[in-house]
Amino acid sequence: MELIQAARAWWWLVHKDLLREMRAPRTWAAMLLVALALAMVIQLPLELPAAEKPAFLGAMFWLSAFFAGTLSLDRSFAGEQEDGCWQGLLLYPVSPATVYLSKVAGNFVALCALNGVLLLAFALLSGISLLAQPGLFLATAVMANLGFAAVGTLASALTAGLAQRSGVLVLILLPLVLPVILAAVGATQSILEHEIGAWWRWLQLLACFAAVFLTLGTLLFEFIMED
Amino acid sequence: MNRCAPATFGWNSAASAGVALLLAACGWLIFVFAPREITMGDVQRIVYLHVAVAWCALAGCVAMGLAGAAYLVRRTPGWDQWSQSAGELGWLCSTLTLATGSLWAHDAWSTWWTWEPRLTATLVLWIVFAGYFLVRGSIEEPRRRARTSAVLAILALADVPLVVMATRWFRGIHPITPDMDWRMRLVLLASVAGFSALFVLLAAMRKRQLDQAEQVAALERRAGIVT
Amino acid sequence: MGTLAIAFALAWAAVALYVMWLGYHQRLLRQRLDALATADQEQEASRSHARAA
Repeated sequence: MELIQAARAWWWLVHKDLLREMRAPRTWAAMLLVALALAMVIQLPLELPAAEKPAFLGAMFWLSAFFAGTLSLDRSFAGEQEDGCWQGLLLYPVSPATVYLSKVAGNFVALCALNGVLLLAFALLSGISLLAQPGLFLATAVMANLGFAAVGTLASALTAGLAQRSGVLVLILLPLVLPVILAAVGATQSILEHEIGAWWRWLQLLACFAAVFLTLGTLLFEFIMED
Repeated sequence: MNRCAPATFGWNSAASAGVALLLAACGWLIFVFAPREITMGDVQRIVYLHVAVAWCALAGCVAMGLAGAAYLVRRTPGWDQWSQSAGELGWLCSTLTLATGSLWAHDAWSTWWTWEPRLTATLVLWIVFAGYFLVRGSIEEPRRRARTSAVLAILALADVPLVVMATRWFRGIHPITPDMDWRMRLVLLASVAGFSALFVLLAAMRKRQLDQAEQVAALERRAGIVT
Repeated sequence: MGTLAIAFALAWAAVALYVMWLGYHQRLLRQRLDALATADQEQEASRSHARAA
């Protein structure tokens, strides 16, 4: 029973955030534009011959995703804080874990949309499609975005309300998220080089990271929310 | 009015003398007892210093995380003070690890730096410590600062093994456990023990100092002095 | 040999700097305590003066 109530509350929170974003796009528009700009800027100076592109494509894709994604994460809690709704959220009768998981879900959706846009941009600009093996890439993206959203939401909550917020968020996020970036790049490269064994190893690392940080986040979020 | 004891160092003479003796013994072991290595010559003796401080850096990270967790459970300021002390010394040790490692690498591999698992993980550790102190410095209110730092310390603790795993799967040339002469192994263990003792001594001194600062602040609040 | 010397010198310099930094903070604490003691004495003095008056 409690679980159903929590699930309903979770869905309501996710729905509220996504709806608000659809009505007045503050975060998504900026994030997607930054992603496109990054995709261009990263590839332009590196006029690589076609044979060498696959080696770098994975890294360029995930780095663009990371930097653009940080924008979305940065704004996770900013909306509530700026509009004075933070107290309301704290008083709402849901467990902190539900709030955390709803924010993670919102960020996850944003990151998936970001990946979609980036895939298109990279396919057009580099001529190589990362979706040659769609199932494998989808699994990679889902796990990577989950892990990234899990730790990013936590970091964003930690730094919300600090004096120099944005700079500190990236500084904290970078080392925490490095395993995800490395694993995602490794997995993408394995897909492009058709090495399924290696890809499976990378996916396991991504899943491990996502599991660890989702669990930690669920446990630790109430300490961040206290005030 | 009752004042805390004269603000001396908390210099536990016996402990300090003991550690000094231990370090002197280590010095003798490192420079006299340890045999000269065939390939690299005397420069190889850096290893005894490098491994010891690397071990202390990791231990500092672990101690910082565990103390943070203890604070979240117990809410006594003492645990936060331990976390801060361990963090400061851990940061110092990771700086030394990078420095001594670079010096050794220049002699052994003719390069100051390489993106190899342990080096990358140590750099990540260094950035994590730096982020921890940036966040600590940005929060004025002591309880919020302690809580936020504790959460960050726990995240860092979970992250470091994942970074090691990710980078080890990526590539690796750093020697893991080379075959060592029994005398070298003995000196290595002694060196680690010596530096660990120094670490604990300095951490305890710093913790005591932070505790005194807390008491002085409380007295000032009672006297109506605003700092 | 130079590399070895630099490495050990760095390590000891780091420890020495840290201890000096601890000492600096300890001096600051002592100054704050002294200020508290002075404020305390002044309060005592004004109280006894008020009593006498």
